[in-house]
Formats: sequence, structure tokens, C-alpha cells
Amino acid sequence: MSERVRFSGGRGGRANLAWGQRSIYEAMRQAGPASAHYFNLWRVLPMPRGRGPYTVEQVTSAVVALVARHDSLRSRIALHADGQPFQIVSETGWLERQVLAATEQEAEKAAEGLVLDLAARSFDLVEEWPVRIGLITVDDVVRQVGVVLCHTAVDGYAADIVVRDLRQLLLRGSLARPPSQQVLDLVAEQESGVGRNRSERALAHWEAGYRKGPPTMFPDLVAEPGSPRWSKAMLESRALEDAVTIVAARHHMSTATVLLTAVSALIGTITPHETCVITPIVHNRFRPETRDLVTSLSQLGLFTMSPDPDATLAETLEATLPEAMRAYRHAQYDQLAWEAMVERVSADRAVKVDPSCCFNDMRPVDHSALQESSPGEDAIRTSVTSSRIEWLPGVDHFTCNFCFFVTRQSGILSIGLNADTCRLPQSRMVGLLRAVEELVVESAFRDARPGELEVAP
Amino acid sequence: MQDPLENRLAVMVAAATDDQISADDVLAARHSLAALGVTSLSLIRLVDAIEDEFGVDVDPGLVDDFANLVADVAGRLR
Repeated sequence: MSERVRFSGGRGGRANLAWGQRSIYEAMRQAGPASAHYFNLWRVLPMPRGRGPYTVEQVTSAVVALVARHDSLRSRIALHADGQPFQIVSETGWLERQVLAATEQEAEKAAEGLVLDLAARSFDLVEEWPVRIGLITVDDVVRQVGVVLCHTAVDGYAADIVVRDLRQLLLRGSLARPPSQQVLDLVAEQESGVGRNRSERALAHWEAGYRKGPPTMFPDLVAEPGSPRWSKAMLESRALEDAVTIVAARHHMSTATVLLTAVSALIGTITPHETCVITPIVHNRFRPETRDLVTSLSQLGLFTMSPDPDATLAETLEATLPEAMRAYRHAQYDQLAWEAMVERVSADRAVKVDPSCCFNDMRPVDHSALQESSPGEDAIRTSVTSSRIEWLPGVDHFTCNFCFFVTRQSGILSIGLNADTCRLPQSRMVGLLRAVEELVVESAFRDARPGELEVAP
Repeated sequence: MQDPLENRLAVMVAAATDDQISADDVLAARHSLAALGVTSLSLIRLVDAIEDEFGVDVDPGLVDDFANLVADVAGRLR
């Protein structure tokens, strides 16, 4: 049964949307209410072991304290007379709660089902606050909490903070320190001189890239649409995980940078462009004050490189690291000013500039050092044979031609591709994922070049 | 011999690595920051911290060794 739970606590206020919020808001507006649930985020939290038992009311109180803690979770969007959005942070409001009874054996599965149910509807950005909860009880004791969050309020990193804080509130009843920053303060910072300078610098980086790169990375329709047209393939590979860790440590880079560079280098072998342009989604969590800031902070960065099929991956990594760092650094900008820049550059070039080629590392931000232990060359090479391709549900309409993603499935690194099959047939999608795996695994143990690998047509 | 800016930047490098590298190691190093173990992630954090504290914009793509970083920041502060 769905019901509304009142919350109160925390300050009220109003502000423009932060830049990252604005970018997600635009994407959701374009998708429309029928599809915007695609952007919802969710997490399932089993009740902390050795504590409790927790009643529905106790867990609800912890959620109310959580919502009181983070401005972003009490924020709704309203529109000015000219249609421009702004946000109102409320001191009081409500959130949707569903409670479902299950048996001990079914609790985990029931939680998954409930959270997916709650996530299958778009949030009403104007009327509804951005949190829904689903509680699974066994004999009136809460076993699992599902939290569904609207992407205008959180990104993946913030969703993890939310669950971490909820867990602490359940264990301790309160949290010692306030969050490092709140969304209202972030907006004030972005609108200050410092913020505007940061945005202008970032846009200068983007404009230089947009003026020199190809207008779009996959311009040619080369095949009949697959079913569905935008197919989604995923390669789960322990070999890749072990190998990319070795390569990243060797070059003092993140595993994300290694994968970003490897996929860019391989795109270079299947497209005719002199410059490869790819837009990584950057978490923007580099400053200490962002550590437990709950908002949607991630934005697109711009990475450009000149692919050389005869250069080893090691050489390419060293040569392109400065560009990767610029991409990460210049991913905080005023979204409206960015749109104006794209229009201006497109008008000057007399062609719509839209690389439509993105990279999304969805793993939690890793602030820790790389692990020392590695299974060794033979074991890694052997484990390539057990990596496997899986097809996930695709869609018939989408806004990006090529979305490469990195995630973790049951503890194993997975890379995936959601692509327009008219531009990259399914065989080519699989070929590219396999080529990324091969290039990185080989590079862990010898010099390997993208030009030596065959990507299936 | 070391000036206050150099000392301060060494502390900031250490902080950007979550103190996995000490400020003394940074000051003593003769190699690139990468060779010292400063990752690309730490470098972005460092460049952000320099911007916040000194109001100058250092290109993370051009930071190689510590001496150059100090010279770069000093040059921009002049």
C-alpha cells in the first residue's frame, strides 16, 4: 500500500538549479514524463546486522532525519513565468512510502521487486519531493529498505551517500557532522565570480574541441536497424578487471582513464576521423567539500585525441593523459552557457556539432589506492575465456549514438555499449567490447597496438 | 632554502593524495609527481585546491614535476 509520510526539519530556501541539475533536468524534459523514469536511481539497503529489530516507524524516522539533513532531498522544481526552472527547498513536505510483508526467504527478492516498481514511474518534479521508500517486513520487522531517488536531486555518487547516511542513522540515531556542502550553497558558489570563471574556462576548453573535432563521431547509417534499434551489450570480464588494474597502476592513472583511452583508440580504428571526440561523464567530486554533498553534480567532459593505430596503448596513455585531465577538470560549467556555445559553434561551422559518443563510469568513486595483489599473467589470460557477453533490454529511440559504460556486476568489472545499430551493428558492438578487453589484457603484459586488433564489421 | 610557497604546495600535494605521500617526500623528490605516486585523480584535486587557495588556474595536463609546479604557481601569482 502506498502512503505519504510527512517530514519536517532543515531549512527552506529557493535558488536556481545547480549546473549538473540543469543538465539532467533538460535531459528529462526532452525524454518526457513517459520516459523520464529511465533517469531514476535506486538503492537497496539490508538492515544492519546485529542491531534492531527495526519497526516500520523507526526506519521511517531515520528516513525523515535523512531528508532533514540534505537540502537536496527536500527540493522540488518550479517554473518562472518564462518557463525557466528553479528549485524550492521545503522545511516540511511528504514522501511516498510502501510497506510490503514477505517471508524470510523472499525478503531480498521482494525488496528488489518493490524498488523497481517504485522506480518505474517518473517523479512529478513540481509536486513530488525526490525520495520514495519501500520497506520489506518479515513478521512486522523491517529487513530491507529500498530508496528511489530523482536524478535532479542526486547522481550515483550522491545516492551512495544517501544510503550510507541512512545506515548510520539507523545504527546511531544521529550523525555527528553536517554535510560538507548543501545544494543551496553550491548554487551560490556557482553563481559567484569564482564559479563563473570556472565555467568560462571550461567552456573555452569545450569550444576549442568542438571547433576542431568531427561534428559527429558516427555519421554514417551502415545497416538496417537491429531489434531494438538501440541495443545494449555488456561484457563481464574478470580478466579485464585484473589487467586494467595492472595498466592503471603502471601509469599512475585511474582504471577509468585507461578504459576511456583504450576505447577512444579503438574507435579511431573504425572511424575515419583525424580526431576522436568522446564525452566522459565526470563526477566532479575532486574538491573536499563535495565529499558528502548530495546533489546531481556530474556533467559531461570533453576528451579529444588523435588516434594512432600503430602506437602502443602505453604510448597513447602517456601522450593523452594531459587531455584526459583537462576533460575531468573542465566538466563544471553553466549548462545554459554551454548550450549557447554549441549553437554558436554549430552556426559558425554550418553543421550541428554533437559527437554523440559518451563514456560513463558508473562505479562508485574510488579514492583508495590500487590493489597490490594480481593473479598473474597465466591466470589472467586463462580467465579471458570465461568472460561473457550479455544483451540487456534496449530501446527504439535514444538521444546518443554511442554510450560506452563501465559498471560492476556481482563484483566483476563489466564494460558495456548502448549504441545505434544502424551505425554500429550488433556484431561490431561485440567486436569493440572484445577489442577493448584484448587491448588492455595484452597491454598488461606486452606492447599492444589498436591497429593489430580486428574489430568485427 | 625553501620558500613558504614551496612548503605550502608540498603540503597541498600531500593532502591531495590523502597523505599517502608526505610533504617531505614531495620536497625531496627529484622525479615527476607521477613517479612519486601522485595519481591523475590526486592531480585534479591538487589543481582545484590551488585554484581555491591562490585563485590561479594551473593546467593539470602540464604539471609534471614539483619544481615546475612551484615555478608555474609563483609565475601566476606575480
